[in-house]
Amino acid sequence: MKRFLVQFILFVSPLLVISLGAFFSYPHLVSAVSTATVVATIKIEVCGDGVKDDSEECDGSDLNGQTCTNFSGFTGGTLSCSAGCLFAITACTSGGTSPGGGGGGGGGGGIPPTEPVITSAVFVGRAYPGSLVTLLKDGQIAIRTVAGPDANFQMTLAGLSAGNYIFSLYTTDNIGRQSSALTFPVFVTSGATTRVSGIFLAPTIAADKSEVKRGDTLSIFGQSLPQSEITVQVNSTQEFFAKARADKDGVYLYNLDTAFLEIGDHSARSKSTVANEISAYSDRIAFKVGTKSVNEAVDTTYKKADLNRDGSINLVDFSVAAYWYKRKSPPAKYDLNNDGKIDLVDFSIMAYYWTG
Amino acid sequence: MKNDNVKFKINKLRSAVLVFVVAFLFVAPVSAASLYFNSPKTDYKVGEQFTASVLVDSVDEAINAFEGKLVFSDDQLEVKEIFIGNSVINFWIDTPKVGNGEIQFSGIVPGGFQGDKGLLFSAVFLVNSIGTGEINFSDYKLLLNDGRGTAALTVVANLKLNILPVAPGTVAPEYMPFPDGTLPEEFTPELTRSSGEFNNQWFLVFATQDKGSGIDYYEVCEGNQDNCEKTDSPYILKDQNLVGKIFVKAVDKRGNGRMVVLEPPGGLVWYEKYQNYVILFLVLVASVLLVLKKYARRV
Repeated sequence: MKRFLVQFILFVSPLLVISLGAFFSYPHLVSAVSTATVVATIKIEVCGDGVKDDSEECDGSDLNGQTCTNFSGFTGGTLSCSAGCLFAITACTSGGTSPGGGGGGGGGGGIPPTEPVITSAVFVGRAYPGSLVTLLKDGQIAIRTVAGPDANFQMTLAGLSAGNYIFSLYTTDNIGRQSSALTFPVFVTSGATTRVSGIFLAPTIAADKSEVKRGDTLSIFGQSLPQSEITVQVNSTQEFFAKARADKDGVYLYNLDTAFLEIGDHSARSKSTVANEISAYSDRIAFKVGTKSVNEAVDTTYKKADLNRDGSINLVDFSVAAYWYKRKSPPAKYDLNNDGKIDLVDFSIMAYYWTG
Repeated sequence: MKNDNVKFKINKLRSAVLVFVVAFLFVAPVSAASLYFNSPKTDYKVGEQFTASVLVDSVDEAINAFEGKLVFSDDQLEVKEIFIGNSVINFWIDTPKVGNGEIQFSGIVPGGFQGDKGLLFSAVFLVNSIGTGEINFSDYKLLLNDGRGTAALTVVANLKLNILPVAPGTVAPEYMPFPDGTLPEEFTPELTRSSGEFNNQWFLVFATQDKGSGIDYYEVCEGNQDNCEKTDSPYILKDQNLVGKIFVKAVDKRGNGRMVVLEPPGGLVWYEKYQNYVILFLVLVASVLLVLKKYARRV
């Protein structure tokens, strides 16, 4: 019995140590997060909800503890907050007279002018230098803008109703490749400006070959934020990560030595990091390691999802597919997964490639 | 013999521990999407009406296509209204409709929905008879936003109800209808045709949202507003010469309608162009002047 116990302890103890170690190294299972972790987040703030957020000077009656006397030249009066969540000093006074002054009585400020209340949303983020950024509201193009040379962009969408929206943003790089869309739900508050900041669009990604001879180099490239660090994730039997640096135009290139990869199918995707902020992942590109090299093939699924071949995947394509939904003998060109019918899977593929 | 037994036990224990550890180390936690109801309570009285909202949680993975059915006893529960306003679904393939104790639905979210408490739709039920009741999910499918339409692992929580008789001398609580005074959102119908679709005929596509009660129906009128029909997108135009205006109206569940007028590329019919009236007037004036001039010469 003693021998059994000794054997049991000797055998189980190391396993327990390994188990506990594994448990605490599993990111899904632990609540503590390393301080060095970078996370892809967007920030949603509401101007008009009466609570001052980071990007606001004030919000409604929340003046962040400020009064008129905190502003130079004013000794009294009433500080207020504009509809844009900026301080309004129109009712502040200096030396007992209103700033607009002039003669005659009144003094002591007055009622600040009422600004029209609008329900709107502002989107602030980063794409690529000079890239065209598209914002979809509930799946339809709402607004487009061009990012600045520093890749920053800002868009305002006014005239919204209060309620839940699904917003999507994507951009196109210097040679017209489309980034993966960043999609998120937002509740828009009535009579307030909802500010969505911290948007960091994913890099584009492409490879120079669809099949590469084992041992040859596969070039993986795309565009992102200038000078950002690009992490290329290669999905093979053994997944690995490689680093590259985007140049001043945001263009990056990583030459993958395929000598270490097994013969077969692989895929890669990339993300971008700058100053502890991280983008979403790009789309995946698939490639094969084999015995010959084949130049990059065009993604035919994307083209196929564009049912009417107008260069966009949008409501028109959806409507055409909806017409054939569950009908007998649909045209083969509308059957995106080639299973002989138009069903939910075809719509899911279309929704993935959606451009609005 | 005793030693053999101990050895056997040790080996068995070793195997069990090994299986446990391997399972613990190498089986990654599986996240699932969930479909469930949000209903104010589960105990109702006959004659009472209640709203059950269908919600989705998918925190780890984006879902871009949904389909399924709600199944219930239509002797026990009667659907009074269905609301799709504020839904995370942007485009409905099957707008939720009731029939034979079922509400069938399907739709997509371009780019996918990732988050919790995403509203699909709400249904208002009237309770007709006592007993235990259920509203169950059936034939449901949630697909990942991965470009391949991979089915997401989905768990559902059905709604269990306990329906009680109305106590003598009391009445069931009154249902307060959902108010909505706002119009559907602005939209731009697209007039298009392509050699590959509908025999190259002109067709209209349209869709909008209503953040209140939700879109009830669309109406298309060709030529004038007396010639309308309720329809869905796509709508193949009857007048393929595109003569006359096209009116597209989106109406929500509370009757608030937004109308969009399209000036067709084929031009308006002659009586819709004000220029024609001006020309007619000028011709008339010129004719009268000529007649007067001739008459004056004779005199």
